[in-house]
Amino acid sequence: MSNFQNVQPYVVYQPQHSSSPPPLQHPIPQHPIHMRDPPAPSPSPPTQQRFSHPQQGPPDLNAIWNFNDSTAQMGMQFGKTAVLAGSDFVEEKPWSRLVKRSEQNGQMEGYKPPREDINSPDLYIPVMAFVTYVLLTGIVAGTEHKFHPEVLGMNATTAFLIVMLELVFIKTGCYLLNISSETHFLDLMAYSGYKFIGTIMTLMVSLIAPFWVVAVTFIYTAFSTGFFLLRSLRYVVFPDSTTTVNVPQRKRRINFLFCIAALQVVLMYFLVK
Amino acid sequence: MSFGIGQILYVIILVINGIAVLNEERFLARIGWSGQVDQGFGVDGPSLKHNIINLISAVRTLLRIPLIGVNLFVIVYEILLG
Repeated sequence: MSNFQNVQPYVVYQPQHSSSPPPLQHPIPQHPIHMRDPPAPSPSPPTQQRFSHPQQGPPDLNAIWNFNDSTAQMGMQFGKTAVLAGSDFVEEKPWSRLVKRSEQNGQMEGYKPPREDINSPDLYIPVMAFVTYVLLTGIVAGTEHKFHPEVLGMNATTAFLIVMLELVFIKTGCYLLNISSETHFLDLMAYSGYKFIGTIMTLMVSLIAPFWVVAVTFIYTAFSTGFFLLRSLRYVVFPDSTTTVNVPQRKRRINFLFCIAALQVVLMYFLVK
Repeated sequence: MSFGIGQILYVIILVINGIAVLNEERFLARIGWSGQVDQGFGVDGPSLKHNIINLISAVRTLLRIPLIGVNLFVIVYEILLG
């Protein structure tokens, strides 16, 4: 009987939506800033608006923008973006993951899955980037007239081993520094796999551009990957559930975090090579 | 820049061999890396050095027997096919 009662609302629910198209099953990505933002009067693309408008932006600036012509608006926006990129952008878009809490006592159970949390690591992009990287190395070898089917396999193995190397590095560091974070192995793997995106960009640029452009692209992508990991792996190195860490330990952990970020540059160099 | 899985396996085996070959009395005790380190008061959790010592001793106790077999296998393989 109780089983039937459980089914009942579902049966009622079904025809309700059969007339109109059913809503999307996955939740809408949470862009709190983006949604709360009123449409700004500037003609720049929306991605820039998201970065440049603080959540409670200074209204006087907005008012000034209304009176200026579009070129000045663009200029102001670019300047504002450049100035605020370091501070405001970081503040208004949190990089930490949302915590899933138990419904009974509010205890932390883990982290929310990627479809409820935009900051959650997800293996989709890394896996796609990995495959793309392997194929792209084949193309690069082809342009140098060195292509052989073995190249793909060798590059895939190397890339996989580089990811594994980084995983071992992080896990060993966590052990040596007594970081008792229950980060899942696959989460770390996803974080490690994001560096393939920068590598792909560099490789694609290297197909068409002269050397210095490639160098600049590599430096930019490597440092942005490092910065991304620096921000994202904070919760791995400093799990807030633990008791307060003393100063030398904290310093050591920060150094470890920087080591991970620096490792990105080295590993990406090996990947690009 | 390309590794094979075989080379990586060799690297792992050689590194573990290197850890396992460290002698307790002749080497580790001499540089003060032997046994259990006393925990001082006011230190939360074991220190970095303590962890390394623990890791080395764990590798030495746990992996000694399997390493014999693995090393034998690699040696025979290298003699026959390498």
